[in-house]
Amino acid sequence: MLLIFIRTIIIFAILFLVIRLMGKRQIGEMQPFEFVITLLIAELACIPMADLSIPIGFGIISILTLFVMHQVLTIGEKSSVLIGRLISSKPSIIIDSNGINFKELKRLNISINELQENLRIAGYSNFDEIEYALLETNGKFSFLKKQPEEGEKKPPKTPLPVCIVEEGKYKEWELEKLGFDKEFFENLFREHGAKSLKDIEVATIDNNGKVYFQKKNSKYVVVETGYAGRRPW
Amino acid sequence: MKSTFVLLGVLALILVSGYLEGLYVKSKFGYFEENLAKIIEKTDQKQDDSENLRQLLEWWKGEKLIMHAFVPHNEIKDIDGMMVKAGQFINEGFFVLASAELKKLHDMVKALPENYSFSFGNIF
Repeated sequence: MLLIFIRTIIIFAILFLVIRLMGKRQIGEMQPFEFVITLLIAELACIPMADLSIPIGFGIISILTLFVMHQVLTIGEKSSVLIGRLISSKPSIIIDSNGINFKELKRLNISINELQENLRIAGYSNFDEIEYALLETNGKFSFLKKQPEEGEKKPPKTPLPVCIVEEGKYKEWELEKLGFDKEFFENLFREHGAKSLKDIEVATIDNNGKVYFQKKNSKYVVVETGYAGRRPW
Repeated sequence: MKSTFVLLGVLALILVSGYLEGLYVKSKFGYFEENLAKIIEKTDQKQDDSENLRQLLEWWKGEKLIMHAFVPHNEIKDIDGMMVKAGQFINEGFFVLASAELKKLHDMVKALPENYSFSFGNIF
């Protein structure tokens, strides 16, 4: 019984560490330790249930040990901020007033496409509509909308941005599909101080011709170009 | 507060029942091993101790029902068969074969509580 107790704690600790190292995106809607418990508990319940040679007590002790671990971690999480951060991490700021935080994005293994996808799911279309974007400790994205400035015009139609540059490289397929000229973007980036395309971390353009781009270690830039390419969408 | 009490209660239950289980398994298998050693000694001297062996088998059949709760069933399922086989050898006068079977059983009975005891080797 005590063996099962200790072994369950060890397996739990290792799984928990691995899940924490894998990052928040693997988690879904749970805290890391809740995710680990969910992974383990189904198996623990099934094995003694199906295998008649294993005493049912082995399953019961393992499940009770998980309950103990859950309670201990919940109490630990509430008792101190530091312990709480060790257990559940802290929310990561992905977009702030300077634009996208690429270092954080890279650390979390999130691509621009995934960020855009979550932006759309949240009901936004452009990065510049967002004041802050956070990846919460349960793996969900939170977007805080930018407050419109007085006298700001509404866009003529619902903007639908496409990513045309990611990590200093053109997304050729998008450019080809929508009939965009690279020259137009190169001139635009040059006008805003970019020496080459490699300086651009991300650039999007929407169907109103609004270009959003961000140079390395710089604040983002939004330019209303009205450019629609050869095949407006 | 309530959940902390529940937590402490469950933790105490696991630790106390784990400790008692260890003592129980050790004492029962200790008794088994001790009696088996006596039977082996007599068998080695070519004395018929099948009556004690039969009594030990009866005792074990009663204990086995409880032991199933603490030890995986496959580990103890062969014990009855080995005792019956050894008894048969004694009844037919094959003391050497009976002794070999009983010594095998003795080693098994000695190892079982060690395999499930709380130790570093068993944890890993």
